[in-house]
Amino acid sequence: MSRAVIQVSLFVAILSGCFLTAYFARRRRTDPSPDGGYAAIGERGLTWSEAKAAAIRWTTTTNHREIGLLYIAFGTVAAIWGGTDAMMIRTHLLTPEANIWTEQTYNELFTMHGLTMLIFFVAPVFFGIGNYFLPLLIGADDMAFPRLNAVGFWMLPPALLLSRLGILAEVTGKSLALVVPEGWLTILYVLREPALGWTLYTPLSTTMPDPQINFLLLGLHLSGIATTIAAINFITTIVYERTSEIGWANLDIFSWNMLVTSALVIFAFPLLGTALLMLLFDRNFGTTFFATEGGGPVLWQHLFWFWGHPEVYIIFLPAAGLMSLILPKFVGRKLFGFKFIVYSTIAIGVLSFGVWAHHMFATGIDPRIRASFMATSIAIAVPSAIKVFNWITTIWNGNVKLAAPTILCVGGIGMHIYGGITGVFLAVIPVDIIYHDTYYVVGHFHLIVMGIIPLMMFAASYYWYPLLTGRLYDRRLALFQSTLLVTGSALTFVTLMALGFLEHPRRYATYPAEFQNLHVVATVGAYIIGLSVMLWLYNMLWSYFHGEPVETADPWDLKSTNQFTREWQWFEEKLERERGIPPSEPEEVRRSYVPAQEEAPPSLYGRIVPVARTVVSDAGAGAIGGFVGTMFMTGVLFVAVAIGAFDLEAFADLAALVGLPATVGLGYAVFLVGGMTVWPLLFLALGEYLPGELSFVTGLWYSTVIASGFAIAFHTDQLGLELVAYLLFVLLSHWTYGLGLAGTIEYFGSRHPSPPEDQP
Amino acid sequence: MSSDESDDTAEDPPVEGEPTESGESFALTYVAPFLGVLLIAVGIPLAILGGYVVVQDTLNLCGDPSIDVRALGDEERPSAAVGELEYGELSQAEQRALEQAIGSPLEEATVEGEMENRDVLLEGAVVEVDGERYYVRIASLNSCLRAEPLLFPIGMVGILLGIVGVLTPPIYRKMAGFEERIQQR
Repeated sequence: MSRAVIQVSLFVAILSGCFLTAYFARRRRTDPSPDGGYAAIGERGLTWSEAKAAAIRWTTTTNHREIGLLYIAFGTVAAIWGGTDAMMIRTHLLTPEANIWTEQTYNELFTMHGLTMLIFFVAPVFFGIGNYFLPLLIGADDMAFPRLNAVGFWMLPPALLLSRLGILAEVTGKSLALVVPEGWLTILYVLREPALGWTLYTPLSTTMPDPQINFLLLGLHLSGIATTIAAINFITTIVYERTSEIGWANLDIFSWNMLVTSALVIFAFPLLGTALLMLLFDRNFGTTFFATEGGGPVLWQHLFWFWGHPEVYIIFLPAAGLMSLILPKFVGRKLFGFKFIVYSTIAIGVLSFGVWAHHMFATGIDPRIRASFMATSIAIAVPSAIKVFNWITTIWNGNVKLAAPTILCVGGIGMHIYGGITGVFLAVIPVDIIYHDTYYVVGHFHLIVMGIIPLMMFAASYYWYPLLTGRLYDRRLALFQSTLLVTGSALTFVTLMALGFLEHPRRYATYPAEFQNLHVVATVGAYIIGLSVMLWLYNMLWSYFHGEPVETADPWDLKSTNQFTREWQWFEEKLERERGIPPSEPEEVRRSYVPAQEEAPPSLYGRIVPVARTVVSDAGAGAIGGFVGTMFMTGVLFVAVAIGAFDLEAFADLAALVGLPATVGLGYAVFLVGGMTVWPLLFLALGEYLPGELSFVTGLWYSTVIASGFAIAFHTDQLGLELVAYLLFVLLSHWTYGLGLAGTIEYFGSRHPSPPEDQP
Repeated sequence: MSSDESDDTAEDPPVEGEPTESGESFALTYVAPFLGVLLIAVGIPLAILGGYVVVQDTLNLCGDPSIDVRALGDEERPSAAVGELEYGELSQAEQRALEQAIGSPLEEATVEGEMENRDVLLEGAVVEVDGERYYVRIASLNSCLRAEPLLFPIGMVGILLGIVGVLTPPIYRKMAGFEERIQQR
């Protein structure tokens, strides 16, 4: 089946869906536009001259906000393109054999998915956000070089088209073949999407005959020039265009991240450009930089990863900046450890240039070199961890609002931790040697590149949507979409990690049949991601016409915690100027970094006494509750022993486990002590997080959860129906334990402390 | 980040303006569409596999392997394990494909017909054509998908049910509004 036709059809269908949504939303608009005006009945469509004027305006604009929107639109289109690649990869992997698409097609898909997402999706979207908001955040009128800004952006569309010329040529050829003899179209069929992996490793990339590889190299080079131009502009803007009130100490965290990102670009991308040209020369002009004889194929890997690893941080740091900027707004607290987050960003920037060879541990380079790169690769986890701990501390004790950006931020932190820690393991040479060519690596890096980067883009789109459009999005749908996105990402990439642990090799179009179930799970997860992205697109487009118009420049109540940053101040002025909406003031204002306190904190003794009193009271009630519950449980277990579903020898094993003589009596004593101490205390600690308003319900939930552990620990040799009966009695006995425990504790009033005002 | 700090007040204000109103059903607002998306996500692969089997068989989309060729230097040998094949040992379809591949800029061609040397070419072999040596191997078996066609209707039903699930919140809100209006009469 022609992959090109399918993919282009999918791509066109998604774009058409977007246009249709926008069209119908516009037609059905009956409520006032954000400026208060109503659409006139029988409103005429766009005329030719208006369309021409709009086209000229958007293609010649040098306004930083408009260029920012162009970048974001371009990045979104690239993401849809690269996303359809991803969906097709996952579809291909539904079956162990290559029988939906061929091996060649699979190789093309994963090559172009990687390049499109990394080069044409992520950086452009972040540069778009930077273009729109960075000048507003630092009080600049525009970017330092507005025309250069436009030039930089307009290099990207041809770069993308050059890079993906193969698919365009194929579809054009197949379309023309309907009316023109196929012999005339040979040149179009010769160009085929490269199938060599996004890393373009030599000697494969120098010897593969596909001429499209040359266009790909040119496209990538052009995009590199565009990225470098944008980075120069960001640096100059931040250094020279800040308003006088903003120094380095109070420069916002997103601008700091964009500054470091841009510095990385300046050092990394020119090198990529050089390496691409060397490869182009090897392919076309007979040079031998990367030849197996007279050159060095591994040289390509060094050059590529000297760009490639900083590139990871080029796409990660803006996401980290957005996290640091947005998260505090939704937890009502100032960013914890601002200074240290800035230092960690700079440290990551510097260290990122000293870790490239960890991608090459399996190439057989000198072990001493490998060891030094292992050390730096492990070291780079420290500044990353500093960020994570500061984000978590920012949430701690905050006034957390349930909103789509919150879910995305929390989900992003979670997946970043998982992706980051698995990266630390990969930095260790012996682990890397085993897992390097497995899905472990795929799962690891996707938990970063999907687990936090796009999540922060979505969070930014929700956070700034009122500022961008003057309307609010559908918040229920956004909550739902965010939850889906986090669920889908976790499901897909954690499953890939699991495949990696099973040492499933990566990059192959076919795989052994025993991995199929996990691949199906990963594919379902990927479709959930795809569907959630569709819901996001729908929300953005529909709300643009139908969202509730904003009536205040502070839709997130940022003023109440003194976090009403400059871009919102700009928006407030705009609203007042254009729609006459006066600035609003919150009823209460407090500092954003500590929970408010009226009185001086009590002394250490004064703080310890009530805590100790509560602990003693809770522990006492818990012990009695545990005793009652264990007695109930004993009764049920007695019945189970009588009918042969439970073996008393399990108690003897328990005694042996804690180092006592293996007798039933001692085992039961341990069981009773545990039932009166460990499990009641856990219930008291975790009970409030379990479902159920009533203690009894909570007790049932709690006992259901802990029953699983008991079932495993006390299982002897029951099989078949005996096993079913055993599990049934385990569950029943635990429910009686839970009811006894919760009921007794409730009786003593320990689970629900009385409100502060009622306390003596 | 604003550095202005004003005096503290006693307590954090309670979070207001939650997206879900207290009277709304959480299950119908979030759980039902979630299950709907899950159904769609499971339905799509089922429908693709079931549907593709039908399309593949109808349009003869599989079964013909493709080969790729690479010209070798005088003494070059891809590896010690690679065997040699005489041009005459190839079937007519294989010979045709080999010549096409040699002439193609992509160095590939499809074998349309009998493939007698399938096992040898799966491993790769050196073949001499008109005095030039080529390394020839199967690039893709282009194997056929085997799946129950019944998967297609099951997948489609899953997708349709899923769409209903996704649309539950607006339907629910409309019905709740309708009921409210009836009660107010």
